Amino acid sequence: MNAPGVRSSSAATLLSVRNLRTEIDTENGTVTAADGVSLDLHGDEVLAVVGESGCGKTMLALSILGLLPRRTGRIVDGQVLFRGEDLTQATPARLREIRGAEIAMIFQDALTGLHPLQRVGDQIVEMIRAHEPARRDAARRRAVDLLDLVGIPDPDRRAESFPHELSGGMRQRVMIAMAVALDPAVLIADEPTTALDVTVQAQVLETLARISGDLNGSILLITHDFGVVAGFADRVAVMYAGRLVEQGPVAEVYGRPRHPYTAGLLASMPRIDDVPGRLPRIAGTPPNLVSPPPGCRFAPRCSLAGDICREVPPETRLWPPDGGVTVACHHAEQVGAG
Amino acid sequence: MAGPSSPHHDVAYRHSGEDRNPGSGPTPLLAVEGLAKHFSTRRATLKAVDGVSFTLEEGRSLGLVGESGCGKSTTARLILRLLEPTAGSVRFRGRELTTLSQAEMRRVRSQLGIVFQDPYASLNPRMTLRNVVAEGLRVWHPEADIDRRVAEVLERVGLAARFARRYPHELSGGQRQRVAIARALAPGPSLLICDEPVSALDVSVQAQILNLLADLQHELRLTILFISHDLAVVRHVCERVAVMHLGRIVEIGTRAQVYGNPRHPYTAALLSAVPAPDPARRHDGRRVQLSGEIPSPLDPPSGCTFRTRCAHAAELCAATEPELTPRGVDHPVACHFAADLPLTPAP
Repeated sequence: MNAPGVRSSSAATLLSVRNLRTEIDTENGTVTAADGVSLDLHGDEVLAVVGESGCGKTMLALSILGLLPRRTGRIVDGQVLFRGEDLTQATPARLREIRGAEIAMIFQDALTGLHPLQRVGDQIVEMIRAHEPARRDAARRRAVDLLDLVGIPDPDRRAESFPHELSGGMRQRVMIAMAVALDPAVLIADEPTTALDVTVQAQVLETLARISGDLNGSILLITHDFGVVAGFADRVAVMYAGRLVEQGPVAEVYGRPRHPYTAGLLASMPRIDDVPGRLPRIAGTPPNLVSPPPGCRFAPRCSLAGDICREVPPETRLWPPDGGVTVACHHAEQVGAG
Repeated sequence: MAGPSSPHHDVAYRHSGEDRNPGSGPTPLLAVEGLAKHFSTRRATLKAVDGVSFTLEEGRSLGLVGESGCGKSTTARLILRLLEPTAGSVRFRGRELTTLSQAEMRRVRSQLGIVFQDPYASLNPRMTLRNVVAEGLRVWHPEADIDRRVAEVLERVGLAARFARRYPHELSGGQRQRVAIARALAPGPSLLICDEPVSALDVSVQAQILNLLADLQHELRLTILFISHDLAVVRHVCERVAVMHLGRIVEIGTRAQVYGNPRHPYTAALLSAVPAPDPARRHDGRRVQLSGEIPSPLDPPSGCTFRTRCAHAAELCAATEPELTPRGVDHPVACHFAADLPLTPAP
C-alpha cells in the first residue's frame, strides 16, 4: 500500500561512495570485491544494489560500515562519505558511534544477528542504551513501541520472547525494529527477505517500505532479486564481478536496460507475469575475481563484445547523455537495438 | 539431438519391467493416492504430508509448489521411498511401490531419477565425475558399458566427455547441477523428480538449467515431477501445477487454470506475493496481503488449515475441512467457497 514512490533525486546526498576499491584475501588469492564503485544515496530514497552471488555487493555494504573481515579484507582506495565525513578514515570509536545510530544494518539471517540467549525486548533496550542515556523503563517502552511499529502482534508479550521462539518473519521484524530504534538516517538491508517464504517476504517488504516512509530514512537495499527491486526501490545499481555496470531509476533501467548484462538478466528470468516459452540465456558463468578478464568483465559472456571490450575497461558514462542512467559499456548504444 | 528412438530411450524401456507398449491404455505413469507421512514427537504428531493424491501421465510435467514446510519435498521422498509413508499408495506404471522389498525397490529406482537442490552438497567431492555419474549404473549395467554411457549422458546435459575425469570442485554451480542431472539420467529413468533444482543457482545460470530440463523432457519423453517454492519457475516448466499447504494439495490444474484462474485463496495470495520484475506493477493495488504467518504443522487450525490467514474465511471453514473437489474440467480445489470467490490471477 505504502510503497515509496519515486522521489526526487535532487534531495541531499546522504551517503556517497567514491571510487571504492576493496580487496579480500581468499584461499585462492586476493580478489577485488569492489573495483572502482561509485554511488550516491540521497535522502528519503531506496537505492538497490542488485547482482548475483559473488559480485561483491555484500562486501560493498561491509566496506561502507567498516565491517570488513579484519585480517582478510581492506579498503585500498576511494572514499565513503557520510554527510561529508570520510568513513574510511574514521577511528573505530567514531565508526561504532555511527553504526546503529546513523547507519543501521539488517542482515539476511536474523538468527545470527540476534543474541540467542537474550530476550528480544532486552536486546533492543541494550541497543538503545548503548547509544543514549535513556532510563531502562523508558527504553523498554520504546522497545515495545518499536515491536508494535514493525507489526508484531502482542508486542508487550513478544518482547519477552527469545529469538528461537519466533518465526523467521517475526525475527526479521525484530531486526528491523532494532535497526530503526535510533532513527538512523541510512538503513543498509542485505538480502533482508531472502530467507523468508514468499508470503512472509511480501509482509516484511511492506513493513520496511512503510517504516522508511514514516521515518524519512534512506535505504540501501542489497539483493539478488530483480522482482524485489522492482517492487521496492526508487533507483537501482546493477553490479557484476566487482563493478557497477548500470545505475539509474528503476523504471528506466527495467524499461530500457543499457548494459548487455542487465538486458540479458531481465530477459532470462522466469517471470510470474509472463507466458512461458524458451528462456533466452546468458552463456557461461561469472568470472573468477582472482584473475578477472582485463577489459570489460562481462565481455567473455557478451554477444556484443569486440576487441575493445576484451582490452579496455569501459568508462562509466551517462547514456543517453541527457538521461538519468549511467552505464559502463562500450556498446551501450547497441543494446536492445536488435 | 536424438528423438524418441534414441538408444537412451530403448534402454529406458528395456528396463521398465512392465507396460512395454506406451500406447497400451490410460494407466498414468505415476499415481499417488492418499499419501501421508506423520512424524511423532513426544508432545504431538506432525503431519508433514496428509492425504496427497495426484496422477502424472507419461511424458508430462507436474509442479508441486508451496512454501517451506508444506510437505512438497517429503512427498518426493515418499514416492522414492527414501522415507516410508505412514499411509497411502504410490503406483508406478500400475505397480504398487510402497509394499516392494528393498531389493525390488532398488531395481525400480533405475526408473526414478532425482535431482536435488544443492549441487554442492549432493555430489561427493572425492569422486571423479565419471564415478559420480556411474553411481546409479553399477546396479545393473555391464562394467564395459559404463564409460560409454557416462560420456553419453554428460554430452546430453551439455558437458564434454572429458569432464568425466574432473572433480566436483572444478565446476561452477550450473555445471554441477548438469552433472547431478546426468547422474539422474544415467540409468535411463522415465520419471525425473527435481527438488528445487535451480533454487541454489544464480539467475543467469537458472535459465540454462531450465532450458536443459525442457529439452530433456521433449527429447527423451521424460516425465517430470518438479518441486519448487518459486511460482515463476514452475509456471515456466510445468504443464500442470499442484499447490500444497500444510501437507495437503489445495488446488491442482493446468498451468492456465492455476495461474490464469486460481480458485483457492491461498493460490491467489501466493501469486500476488511474488514480486514481478516490472516497476509499473508496483502501484496497481491488486496485491493480496496475507496477515499472520504459516500455522505450525504441529498444531494446525481446525477445518481448513488456511482459514487463519484467509480473508474469506467463514464459520464453515473452522468446522469442516474442505475436500479437494473438481471445479470445471480437471481443476480440483479444496475450498468451501471456490465457486464464488473473486480472486485475482497471476499478473
